[in-house]
Amino acid sequence: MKKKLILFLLAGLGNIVAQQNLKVNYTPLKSKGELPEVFTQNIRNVIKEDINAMEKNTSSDKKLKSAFLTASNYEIERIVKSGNALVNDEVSKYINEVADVILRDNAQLRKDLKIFALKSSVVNAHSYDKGFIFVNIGLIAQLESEAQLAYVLCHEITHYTKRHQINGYVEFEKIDRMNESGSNNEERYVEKCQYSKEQESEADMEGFRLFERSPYNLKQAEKVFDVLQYAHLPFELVEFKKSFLETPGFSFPQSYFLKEVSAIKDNSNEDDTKMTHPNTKKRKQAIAELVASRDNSGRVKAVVSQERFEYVRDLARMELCRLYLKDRDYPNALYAAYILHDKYPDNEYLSEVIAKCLYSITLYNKGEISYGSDSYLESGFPSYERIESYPQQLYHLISKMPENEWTAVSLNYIYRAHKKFEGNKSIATLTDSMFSLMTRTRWGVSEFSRKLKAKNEQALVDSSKIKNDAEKKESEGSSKTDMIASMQKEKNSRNDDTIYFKSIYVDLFPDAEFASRFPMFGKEEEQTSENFSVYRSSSSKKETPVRQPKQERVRQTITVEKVLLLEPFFFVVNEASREGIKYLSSDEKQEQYSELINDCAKKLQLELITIDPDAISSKEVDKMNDYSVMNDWFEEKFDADKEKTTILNTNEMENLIAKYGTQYVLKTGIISVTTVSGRKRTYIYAFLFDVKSNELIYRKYEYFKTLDRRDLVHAKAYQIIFDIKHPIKKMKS
Amino acid sequence: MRYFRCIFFVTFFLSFAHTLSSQVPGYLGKRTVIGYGFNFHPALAGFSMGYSDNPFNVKHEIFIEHATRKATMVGANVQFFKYVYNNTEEVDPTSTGSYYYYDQAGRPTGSYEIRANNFMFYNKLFHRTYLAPWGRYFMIGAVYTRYTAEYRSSEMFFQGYNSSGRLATFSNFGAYRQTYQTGDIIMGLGRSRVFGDKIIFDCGYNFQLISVVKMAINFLALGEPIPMSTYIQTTSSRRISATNRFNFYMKLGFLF
Repeated sequence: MKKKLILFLLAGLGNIVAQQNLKVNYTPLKSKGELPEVFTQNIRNVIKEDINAMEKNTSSDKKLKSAFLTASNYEIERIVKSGNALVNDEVSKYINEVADVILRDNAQLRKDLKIFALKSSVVNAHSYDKGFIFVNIGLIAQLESEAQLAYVLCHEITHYTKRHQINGYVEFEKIDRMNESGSNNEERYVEKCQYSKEQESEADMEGFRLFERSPYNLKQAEKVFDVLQYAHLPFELVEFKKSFLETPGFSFPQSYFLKEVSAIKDNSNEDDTKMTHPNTKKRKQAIAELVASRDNSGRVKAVVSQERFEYVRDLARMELCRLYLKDRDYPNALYAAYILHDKYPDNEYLSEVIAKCLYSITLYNKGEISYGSDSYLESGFPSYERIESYPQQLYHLISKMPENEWTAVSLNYIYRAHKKFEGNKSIATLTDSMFSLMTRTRWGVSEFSRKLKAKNEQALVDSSKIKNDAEKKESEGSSKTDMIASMQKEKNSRNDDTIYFKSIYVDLFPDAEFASRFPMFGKEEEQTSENFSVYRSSSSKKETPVRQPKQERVRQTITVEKVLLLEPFFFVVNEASREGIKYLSSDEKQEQYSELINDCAKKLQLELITIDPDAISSKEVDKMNDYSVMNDWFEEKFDADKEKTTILNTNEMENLIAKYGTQYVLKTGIISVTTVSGRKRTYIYAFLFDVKSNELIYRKYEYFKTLDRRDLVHAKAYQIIFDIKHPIKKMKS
Repeated sequence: MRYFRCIFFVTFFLSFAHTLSSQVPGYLGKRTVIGYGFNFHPALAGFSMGYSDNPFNVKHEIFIEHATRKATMVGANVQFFKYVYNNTEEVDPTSTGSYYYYDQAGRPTGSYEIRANNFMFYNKLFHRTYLAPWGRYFMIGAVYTRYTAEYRSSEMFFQGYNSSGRLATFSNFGAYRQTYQTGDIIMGLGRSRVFGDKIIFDCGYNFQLISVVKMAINFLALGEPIPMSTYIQTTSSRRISATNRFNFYMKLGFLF
């Protein structure tokens, strides 16, 4: 008994020691410890075993089920090895502890489940028939209690126990085949949706039966549907106060702010004919009936710990800011960081996120950030008219505030953050870049006041009073859904502002560093620093068309001695076949391609470090984390449609450059396609990036009217490494 | 002939000269190929007209090729071929100097043998997405051809009535062994594949420009009697042109 008590206390102490101090800073979530088997297993063997087992136990639809097992195993592997699945981190550990509570009477089922937190901003969780459950960070950030998380897990566990995925796959294929000539695509889709809704309803009901066996408060299951209903809104609804960006000498004109924000639309009873899930009203109603018929007394919101839940949720919310930044969704990142900043005003990470967002929005306003077709923001930030509730205020401010003023406001915030966190390299670099951007506004010192006028001093007192009142009111805050219910009653009590923005730096000019770095009117001095290139965008160069001496205009060459090879890629597709992707062949060829690239590098004496999640051992969790960082960097890069658009995920990248001793990262892959008409095509690509300067320094993209024959692949692999090994002429930007 | 030799050697040296300043990946670093090649083209018209007993013109070759740039190779080969000419062209009887019936031309009896060697230097210019020695290419080069025609007077002769009205045999077609040389420019398109990273299989087609032109001229002169003294020179030259003008080829080489 004593031993157990000591162990329990030690475990508790361990958790406290391991926790991050969010009041001070936040370190992005990382996998820890030993990687589970799914990271290291040979997927081809796993598929073979699964198919053999299925053939022994099943008599019908063997072919369909084999195809499903192949596809789903690959999908699981793709998610697990995407770098986004977290292992043994604080969030995953906590989710697993909640699962332990739910399944404390069913050890076998608990053993079959492998639960991971997934770094995704989407409010969702999903499970696979092999017992893998992925709970997105976006969902954890939105949940209101541990009990709600428990119900979500129960729902997903039911999908697993009822084998919904494989049954759905077989059913969908049957619908497709039976109606191939008869009904049109839409009818087929509706039929599939109907089947899917039945499965979801079953998961809701059966999940509830599992949930009620746990000590959790049953009412929380009902509340989960409120969370899902408002998942499109930020995790909390807090008024975006203009005082947040205001300083003693600066207040926004009232016209930049809406008098009233738009109401939240109730679409809980929307038409769900063409949806895979029943609408939330129906789902909530069904669960509410069950809750009403049960005794809910003595049940609790948290079994593991309410503090732990709140801590984990805050971690998820912090991580969510990073995920938004990665997706270049700056308004959402800014709003999320703004909410958290209220709780953790001295958190360095949050100040950094806000600084990055303000800087990026400045660039966006100047047209220097635009989105590629891969981004969900392809057409830019959504119009404020489409945004509901408090976040609308922020979108309105972004759209109404003139470009130069936004630059001035951003510099104001970022410089203050720089002074507060002087050791933060990232904020320091942003400060350099902001001074440079300020130069381009052509606003010099003479444009700004150095002294505060008496009239403004009074307004300043008023403005700080308003700020304090608002803060007081907010600290009494409640959960997001409660907030939605009461928000309509709130009145806008903002006072009109009279302070002219040109006094914005009045308290900063006495700062010697600020005064010396602030652009002098008429002098087009380009501010530079060692790290400046990290954040400098391409168009900033275009504005200074200084003709270089002839010798310097000769294209420079780069000599690369060491390269990081990031997950070589091979994809075999047969468009004519029902399955499309040839998973087994793809996997086999990918392995061979990785080996080939390494052999070529050895032959050419190019130092090559491969970071490939397919070739990672269970003890190489650091490599998996490094892969995740690099993947995030590339995702952020490819989301933009301009080659040199700012990459904000650089802090960790700099560490990796130091760790591996190179700034060159190679991404290469082959896609082999047999088209519907039987034509063969092979696409080969290779990109070498200098991740330090955010430059593409080598690019190869070719296609051949043939299949991926051995000589083609070998010749090209060798050529890629050969080209990199030899001095590369710097590409024209 | 001196002119052709000149082109031949200039091509050869220029081909190697540009290796000095270039980066050459080769195929997995392998840049040289040595092998055997088989050239052929269907000669069905000649076969049906009795020029030859073989419906295909066939040439054998050994070659060596070396990648000098990313998409350029220089190569040299020696081709061998043998041809038995069935004397289908007629001899101009007046050229005998003592022929009686001046208006009657005739074919010499039997046949004679032609043995030829082509010495070729060429460049293979690969399509930009390929890498020498692998891939699709265009070839251009210079050819020096040396061939020998050999006949036996006991088998190859021409009979007719001489000026005295007696049946006489004319067999003086010049020296029994006659050697000639010629030059040409070769062009072609081909594609090579590599098996097991060591064996190269190369196939394509080529044509020799001067031979093609000669063939066209010869076609116009076809059927005109040929003087005895130049009979072998003229007919062997025609056969050489006919054999070289256009060929399909398949080559098998070792890559190192």
